[in-house]
Amino acid sequence: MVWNRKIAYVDLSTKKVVQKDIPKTMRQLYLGGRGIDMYLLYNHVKPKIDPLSPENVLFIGVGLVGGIPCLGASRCDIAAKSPLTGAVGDSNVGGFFGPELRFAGFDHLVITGKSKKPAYIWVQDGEIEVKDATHLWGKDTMEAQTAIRHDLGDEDVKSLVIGAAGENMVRFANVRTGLKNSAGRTGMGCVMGSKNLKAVAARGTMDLEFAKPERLLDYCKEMNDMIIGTRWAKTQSRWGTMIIFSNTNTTGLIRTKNFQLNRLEDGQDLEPENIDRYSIGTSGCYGCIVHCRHRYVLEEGPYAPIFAEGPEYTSLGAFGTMVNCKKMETVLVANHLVNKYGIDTLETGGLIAWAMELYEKGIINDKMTGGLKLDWGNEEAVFELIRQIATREGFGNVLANGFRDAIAKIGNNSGYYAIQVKGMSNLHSDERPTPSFALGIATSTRGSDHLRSRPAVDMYGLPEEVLQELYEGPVSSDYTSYDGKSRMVWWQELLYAVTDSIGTCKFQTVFCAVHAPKWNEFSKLIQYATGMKFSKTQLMQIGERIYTLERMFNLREGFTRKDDSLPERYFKEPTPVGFPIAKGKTIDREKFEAMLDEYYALHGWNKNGVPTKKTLAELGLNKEPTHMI
Amino acid sequence: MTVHVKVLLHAMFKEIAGQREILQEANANSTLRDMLDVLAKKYGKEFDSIINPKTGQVTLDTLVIVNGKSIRNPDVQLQDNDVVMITVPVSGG
Amino acid sequence: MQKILFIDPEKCTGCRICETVCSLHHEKVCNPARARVHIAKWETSGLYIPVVCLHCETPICEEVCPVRAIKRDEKTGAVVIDYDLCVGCRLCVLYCPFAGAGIDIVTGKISKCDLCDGDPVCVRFCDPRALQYVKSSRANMMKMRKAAEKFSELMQKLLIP
Repeated sequence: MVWNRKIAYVDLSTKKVVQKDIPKTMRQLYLGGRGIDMYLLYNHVKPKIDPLSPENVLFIGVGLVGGIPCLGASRCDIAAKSPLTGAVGDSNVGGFFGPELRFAGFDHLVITGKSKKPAYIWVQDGEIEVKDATHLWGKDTMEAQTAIRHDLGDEDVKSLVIGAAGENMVRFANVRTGLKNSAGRTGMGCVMGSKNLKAVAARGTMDLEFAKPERLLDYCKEMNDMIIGTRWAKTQSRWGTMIIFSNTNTTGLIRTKNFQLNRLEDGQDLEPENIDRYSIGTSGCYGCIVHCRHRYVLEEGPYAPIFAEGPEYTSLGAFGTMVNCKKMETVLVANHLVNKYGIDTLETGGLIAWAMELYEKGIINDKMTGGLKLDWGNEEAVFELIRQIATREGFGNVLANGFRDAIAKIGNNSGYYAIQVKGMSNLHSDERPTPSFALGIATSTRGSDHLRSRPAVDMYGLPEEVLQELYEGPVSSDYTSYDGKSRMVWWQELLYAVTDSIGTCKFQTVFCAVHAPKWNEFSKLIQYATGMKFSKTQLMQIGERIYTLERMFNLREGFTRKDDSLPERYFKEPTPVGFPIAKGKTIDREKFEAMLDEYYALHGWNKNGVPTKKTLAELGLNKEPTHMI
Repeated sequence: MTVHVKVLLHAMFKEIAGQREILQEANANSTLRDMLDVLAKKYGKEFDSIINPKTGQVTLDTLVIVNGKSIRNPDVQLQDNDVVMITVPVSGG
Repeated sequence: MQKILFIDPEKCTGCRICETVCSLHHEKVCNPARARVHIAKWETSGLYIPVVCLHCETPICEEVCPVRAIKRDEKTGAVVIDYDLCVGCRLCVLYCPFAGAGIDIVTGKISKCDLCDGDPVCVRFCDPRALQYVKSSRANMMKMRKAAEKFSELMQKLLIP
């Protein structure tokens, strides 16, 4: 049966591997993927350890319905204590690795210790081996995947790999698979680097069996038809997430020049339709009909020829608006470079944009940057700084440990200009006009983050009865309002926690549209796949359990209510441009704090953001850690 | 008296119209619905399904944004220099 | 007129949903290794090619089959195996130049596309339409159209100095 995949404990210090069954109770409490990873994180990582020490543990988990042919069920979750924030480290990745790991017989890997020499883990049809990776060390993320395939003599091997950034323990190094897919955030590639783990490779030919295979097949078709029939899915199939740019930049919701403007003037070249000049077609993750990324070719320019995939909306901001570069080609080159080095596009762009503002303000100078002219729009400086960060050279090394460390090194009020929460950079979105988004980045358990809760439907001005029905409580349809927005964030947090745990893609749930699949559809999919029945209420409770456990992890590490906040600039500097609805906006501190109170109450946490005894008892978390697996 | 409205088109709307920006002239008392009708007649495909015929409202998988605000009921009067953006609700990162 | 399985690699996004649903339909499990269709990928150059039985007009597998277990299903146009006759000698696997026949890794039997009795599940799920099940006249026209498009692109390149 599909939930009968195993968990394997791999000790890199001793090369010992132990395989165990995953008790069904774990599935009932946490489903799989992120849910079980979070349970493992809380149980296996001792409090206050150094995230770069061998004591940190890396978790890899596939979602409960991973591998089925709908809703982008390709997702794989990677977790550890974050070396960037010290909080929950967790990143979710699509592509083909997750399903391949399942076909190889495993749903969860728990990787402990540290290898003396570079190593990689090879998982094949129920067997796991730790292999030497000395020859792979130094290879970029694409080269490494190709080399592993050659090594193993199988073109269908799928790998999670790190690049130069992970090897150099850049704190926001990511984990990559394929040409485009990245477990981008919270520095999971850095943890792999600290363990001398270059890659995890998988190849499987084992059956994934289901409770009701015929009904599952029919229902998957029904889901796919429903998704692809919508305008948003058609749009995403054609241009990917880049299409968001058209809307947000026109309105004035995009961070430009770090945080100085909220719209990029003359930004037409960055509009998503221009990708057609470079695209040879789109590319999909495992079993996904939306295929939201382009395969693109750059035939000219200093880095040519480039063949790559992407870019995401995130990269349009990271290497476009935030650094004031106005050319699509700059974004395409930078996207390729960060992917090759294995470094988070968002964090990298955020740090470079911040450095540019410091340079403009004279807080850093040529002497500190080693002669790099960090002027707005200087694409050569952007490319060079990407390289320096990944290789920890020159000024890049000042940024390579992330915001907290860089602020400490640079001093001189530089922290004021940093757009980060809990030590992690924000997306290039400007949340001052949208309180719901602002609350979401403040409360996310992994630092400033749009993928823990972002209630994008808030932007659509939907009738309040539609919102009321969805969120089961009053929510204002005005995105600049604070009313009901805590409810929105709380609800989305639970939904995304469950989505990440069943292993489907967030783009195919209530992210883009209210009528997208959610609780009831998830419930049917789980039932047809596994035979296990969950009501909507039960699924929401699982979401609450996962999110509260993440909260408990952060509390144990010393995070408090104070950390659930926004950069000062959100409260002090009004948005300077944009449509009237987005212009002149700040976040009102009092209203923000009131939202936070409401938000804690919805979760069943007290005023300090600590789960109450009652909540813990209801969720069955009062005895954690319980060490069930 | 006429009003001038700037219409910004994105995604498939831009592709069908072949341009990103249209300047639309309308009678002083005409509504957003009137203008969407004109565009539907002119471009047909996709433009003719911006309004849900059953509800008379903008369909849930379309965004019609007037001066930055998403409009569901198109019976709003157009003002001179309004900026109307027609696009698709997509999100992600 | 007989329908045929029409493959258009340029439309393939490499998602491999065809493999997944093929195994789910035929074997009641998800396991691309047991699918009758496979996407051959050259990831670093972005090339995705669906590989599946082409249901040849003069099937080599039929020619080489010593027990005459391979024949055409007149209704669907599929080249199918009669498992009552098949002895599993694998000559079809050996001789097919298109890798249209394979060996099922669980049953050990010969496994090949049977066009799902006239409603190929891979086609139903392939939204980009890299796999289509169409009348042969239509397939010809699609090919011609594509050739014409390429020809016109070429002409434009030649005409614009």
